[in-house]
Amino acid sequence: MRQATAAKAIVHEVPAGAASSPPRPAHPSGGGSVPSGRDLRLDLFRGLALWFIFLNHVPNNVVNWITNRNFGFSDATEIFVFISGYTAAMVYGRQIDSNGVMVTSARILRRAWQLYVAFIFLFVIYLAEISYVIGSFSNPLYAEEMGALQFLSEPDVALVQALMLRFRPANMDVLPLYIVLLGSFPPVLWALKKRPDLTLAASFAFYLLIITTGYNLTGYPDDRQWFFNPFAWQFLFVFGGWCGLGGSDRLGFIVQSRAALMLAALYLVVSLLVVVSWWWSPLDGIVPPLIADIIYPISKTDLSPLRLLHFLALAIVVVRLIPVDLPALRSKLLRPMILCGQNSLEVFCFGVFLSFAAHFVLNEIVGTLAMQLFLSVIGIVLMVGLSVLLSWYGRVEREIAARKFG
Amino acid sequence: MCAAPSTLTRAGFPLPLLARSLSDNTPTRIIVLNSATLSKKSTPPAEKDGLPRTFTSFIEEILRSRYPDGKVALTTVNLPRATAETVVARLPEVLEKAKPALMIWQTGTYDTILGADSRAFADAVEHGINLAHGAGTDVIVVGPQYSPRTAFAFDVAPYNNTLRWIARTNEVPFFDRYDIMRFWEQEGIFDFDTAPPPPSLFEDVHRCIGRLLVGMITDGVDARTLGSR
Repeated sequence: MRQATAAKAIVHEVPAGAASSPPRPAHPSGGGSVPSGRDLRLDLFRGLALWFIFLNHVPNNVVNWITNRNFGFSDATEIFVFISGYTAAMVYGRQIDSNGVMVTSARILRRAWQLYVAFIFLFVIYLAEISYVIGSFSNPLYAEEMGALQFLSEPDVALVQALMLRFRPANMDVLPLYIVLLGSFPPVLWALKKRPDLTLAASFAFYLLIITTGYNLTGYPDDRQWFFNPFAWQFLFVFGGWCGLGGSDRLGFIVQSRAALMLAALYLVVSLLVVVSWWWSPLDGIVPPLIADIIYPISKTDLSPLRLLHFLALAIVVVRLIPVDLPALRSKLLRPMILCGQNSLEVFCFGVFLSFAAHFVLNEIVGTLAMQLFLSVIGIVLMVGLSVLLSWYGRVEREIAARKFG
Repeated sequence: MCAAPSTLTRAGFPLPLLARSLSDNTPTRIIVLNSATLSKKSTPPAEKDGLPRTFTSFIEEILRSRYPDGKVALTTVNLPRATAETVVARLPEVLEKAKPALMIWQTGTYDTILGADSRAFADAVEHGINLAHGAGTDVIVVGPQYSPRTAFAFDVAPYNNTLRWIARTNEVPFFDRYDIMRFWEQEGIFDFDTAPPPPSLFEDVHRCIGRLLVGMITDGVDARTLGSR
């Protein structure tokens, strides 16, 4: 009964949102409002992904054991990229209808520019932390690691490479990927509107080509590769976009099929056992060597098909377990996570900053277990605080604009 | 002082070729593939020759006293700033020249720093292990070290997990330097992020690593009857 309701809701959610939500003048994918018909599950899981990304980015943090990367092939990045593609296509797709291709493209590029500026801002903070570590800490045990931070001896090169997105500090890798995906989104969105299936097929063909050839962009220093190969990850973004423009309705028959659910659940269980066996010794040897040889290593850089499938299986199970009209989605308890998901750019960047700060505290002051727990909780509370503030401000601005023009 | 949980110090797999070489009367050649850079500048000035003792030199000393009749001769092959892929390209030549009974392969640090593709890294390590086995050499893989201060810049975990997995599937012992050092820090045995570091820290840590590695070697040698390649 509940499944039937969910199916109906999925069919209706996007068109309903498109019809009822007025185009917002700025910050289209993160303005903080909740247009009627908006699928709160998107915001909820993007918020959760942002929390997980923050926790995973605090090095040597015991709390990152709870994040999904320890329980399956895929991790928070897949959730973040897919939902970002979904919401970008949904919001900008509506704007193409009402404002035309050129204006919408300009808005997308403005958003990409904001991300770029945010990246450079975070890069400056990263440089400050590196300069501090180099200046204050000389330990022969770490000659190798410290030596690798010596790119600062030629700051002109490092800065220019960062401006060109060729130099990407480890914890900020998602941001350059997102910038490239969004920067190249205008023609993709146009194609998705005109010929959705053909565009998706082309994106998938390109993905297959990339995972077979391993082609990737190079970076700095030493021609290191992009940690997230944008040519491979584009598929998840485009697939999110395809779903956001109504594709998910057409996939309803798969999502609602019992066989798909069983297969997805089975895959999740197998993946859980494999991943847990990597770090939990009682499960040592549970994966037969023959299978291990086939599945390992699982490339995150090129979005290994195993990771992609795991994300899709997870999505099927989650969509079935949490229907769009689940009352709990409107409960106060989940509100903080939803608000974070609705202000994803700001909260993501703040999370990167907080992970730097937490690392600093854990090393300079005290790195005990209690401190790790405390910093993890405080970080999430601060992320929620920021999202509450941004949502409030967005609402006030819209009310002022409405009074002015209405 | 050099204690660590047995799950981290057990060999888990036998070292039959090394065992044979130690028991017959021929010299036992061991090579250490080392990709670390030791810059003279950063070493403590108190050292006479300017370079502190690394775990390699401790291994040779401890092994010789442990196997007095084994005629142990240890060579370090330094390939600074080399990824696993680079090392593997040189490996046939190195193995041909040294003909070792055991190869201790320290890898992963430079790959982590570079952010090398984990698939290429895993393939290279696996290929290297196979090359060594093909040349009649046992292998112990040594992972990158735990470096709390630089952890925000380099994420060791994926590379360390890859090494653990590749070692396990290819049935070679894995010396998990990262987890062992983390254990030492958690237990308060060593403090890796005080500034300035105690002058003896480098040598104390390397001595402990040398001891535990020899423990793992002995474990693998004694386990020879349990299985053979």
